Amino acid sequence: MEITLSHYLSVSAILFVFGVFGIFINRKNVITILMSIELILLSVNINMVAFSAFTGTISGQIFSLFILTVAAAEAAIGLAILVIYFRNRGSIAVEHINVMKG
Amino acid sequence: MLLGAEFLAMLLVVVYVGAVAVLFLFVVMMLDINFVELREGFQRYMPLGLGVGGVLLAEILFVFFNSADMPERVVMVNEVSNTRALGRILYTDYIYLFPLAGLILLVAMIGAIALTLRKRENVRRQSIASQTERTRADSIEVVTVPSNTGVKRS
Repeated sequence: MEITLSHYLSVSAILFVFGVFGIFINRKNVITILMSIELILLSVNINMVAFSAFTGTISGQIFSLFILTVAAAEAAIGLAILVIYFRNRGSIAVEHINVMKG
Repeated sequence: MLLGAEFLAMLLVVVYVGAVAVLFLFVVMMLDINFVELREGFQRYMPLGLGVGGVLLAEILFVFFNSADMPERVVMVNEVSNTRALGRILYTDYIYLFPLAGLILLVAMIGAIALTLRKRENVRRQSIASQTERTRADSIEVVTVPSNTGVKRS
């Protein structure tokens, strides 16, 4: 069976939905939310590469490269914020994150 | 990989396994988190999450399988390898974006270090400036000791 563009897009859509789902069912765990964001960005990457290969242009792969860069930077910053938040509060529950001041 | 994007496939593996997964593991290890406490709201949000996820998935798949003409696979003429082709475009057409990506990574690195760095009290550190600033005059003193008397500490 030949793998068509729809199959790649379906995999990407399923990954995306897992990411959104992960954000929605986790209102407390920041680590899981960060991982879900990574998952969403990864699904966008798959989309980009699939379209790039199927339309014969290579620009999509370049964009995928930049998305990868931004995802890595975002993970680093998010985890750093998480570490200082844990140091201040002693827990990583995001429910009460709005009581932070300054 | 199947699509002929070898460079990007390898890059994804390296970045996600080597950097992101290790970073996450490290943070999970460093913070001792009570995961039982965090699971409390799980049951409450489950129906909402399931609903949103299901609707989203249904919509996306509906669009996919009803869209009329997906483009057929264009067979690329492989006169150069994928990595070489990427490099050719990346260093010419996207020459401004490429250093910008590097700058983003640099800012992320500096930001992460600056956020997590903390000054600790009551820790004796090596002070290189004061060590190298010492001269012979203010560190040793020659005293002549008369016999039968000790040296008084000044």
